[in-house]
Amino acid sequence: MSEELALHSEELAYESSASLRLAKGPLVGPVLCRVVSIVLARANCPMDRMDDAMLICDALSAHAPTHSTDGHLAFSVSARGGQFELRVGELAEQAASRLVGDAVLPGVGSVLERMTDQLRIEAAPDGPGEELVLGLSF
Amino acid sequence: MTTPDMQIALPARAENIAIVRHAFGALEDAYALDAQTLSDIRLAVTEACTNVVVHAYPDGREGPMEVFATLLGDELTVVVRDEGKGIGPRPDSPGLGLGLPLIASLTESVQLGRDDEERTEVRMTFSLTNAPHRYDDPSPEAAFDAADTPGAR
Repeated sequence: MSEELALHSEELAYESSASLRLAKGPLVGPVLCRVVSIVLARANCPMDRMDDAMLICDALSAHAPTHSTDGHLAFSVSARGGQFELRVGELAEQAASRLVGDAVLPGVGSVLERMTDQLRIEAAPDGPGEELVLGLSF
Repeated sequence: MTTPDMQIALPARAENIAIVRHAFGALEDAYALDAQTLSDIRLAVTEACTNVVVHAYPDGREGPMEVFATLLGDELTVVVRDEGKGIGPRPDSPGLGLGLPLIASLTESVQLGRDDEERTEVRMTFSLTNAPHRYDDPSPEAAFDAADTPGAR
């Protein structure tokens, strides 16, 4: 990429955020991956980190639905200033750590731990349950 | 009331329409919709979201745009909701006033109104088995005739 184009694309980077609430089922994976990819693309996230984010989304869509409190999962996605944050909400008590443990690949370990720069568990802001907060730098 | 299968909440900004449009592409992955039906759904939802961005919050005020999708049997219901000033005639509209007639032509039914908390809603239903009536009369005149008020959202 030429210097001029690189500068121009940097100027076009958007800060974006979106909140999703998805019923357990076939929509979770496709919607989450699509929303995360467009939010990251608009933030000028490089391809290797985009790949990491897609692996995270795949792991979450495969394992998070079994830990939801009422058949739904809430996701909050935001990207600004080279930082990406993905919050997974409406998880049952103690479910966030189990979710991290579920997303284990042989020889890799927990995908959620390996691919992220930050991982923490917070109490749900309203009501019982937990939120898993994942952060990615790019 | 049925809980939606998908809810998306975003600031009502032009660039966020693309996020909604992209998210609705997931219907194809999840339910193997045919390309024409999916295209109609995405176009109608895009028009409804565009109305929110252009008309709901005047004077540069920023507000939320929410989209809900519920699949029941072979019927998909999509609600686009905002907390703006409501739907009405707008003589100074920057658009051609074709958004609502276009939505009507792409959907099985469309309802405009307000919810219990006075938020503006555009409620669209799509049949996932029958092709919508978009080809009944594709002339621009028909679209104009369908618009009750020029410049209406």
